Amino acid sequence: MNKELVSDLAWGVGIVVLALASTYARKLGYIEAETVTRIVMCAIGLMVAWFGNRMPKRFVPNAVARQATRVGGWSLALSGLVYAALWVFAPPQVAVVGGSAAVILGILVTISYCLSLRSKARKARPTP
Amino acid sequence: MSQVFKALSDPTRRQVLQLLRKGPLSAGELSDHFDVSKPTMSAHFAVLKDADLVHAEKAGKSVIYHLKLSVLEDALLGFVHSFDVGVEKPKSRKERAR
Repeated sequence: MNKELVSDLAWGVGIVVLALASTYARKLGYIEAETVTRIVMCAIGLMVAWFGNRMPKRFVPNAVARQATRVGGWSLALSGLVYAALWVFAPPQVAVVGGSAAVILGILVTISYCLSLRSKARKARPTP
Repeated sequence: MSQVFKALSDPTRRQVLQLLRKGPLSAGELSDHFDVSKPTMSAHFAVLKDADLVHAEKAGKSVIYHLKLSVLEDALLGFVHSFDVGVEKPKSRKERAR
């Protein structure tokens, strides 16, 4: 099987196992309900950061597309790390709002960069 | 990951990656920037390829190299490069010819 696909599946299965294990630990009384939420949300943030990290590694034959994956990778990796950090250290309400805002901002940065690249390419194209 | 550290430990290979930041270059164009023999450059390219930091594409008789860095590797290269201030960069053949 493709190495990339295996790591993607490992992340998915890992988060489910982590959620089940922490729920079981809560039932046994080792951790609180809030800690379970924090553990799972932090893992999701790290997963976003990991996928952002790998994004520019995928080879695309177009130079403009490569620029887009580079910026998208950086913005996604940073917003994933912010999301994870907020879920570890910040109060839950701040983590919900701040974490979601960080990920949305990362997506918006990528989309606006892609749009700016497209408009630059349109301007550079000679008119018939 | 050890292959990545090995690849980034050499100033010539780091310089190759910095040159590739501007866009894809052929093996010949890259070699012109350094005063080293072609087999030495080929060995450097092989290390970079093994570490999965570059993508080699055959175009006719020449090989075109593309940058293939993850965010972490990109940050690592930038970090190592920031300490390169005092390191003498290898002179290109053009510079030495002057």
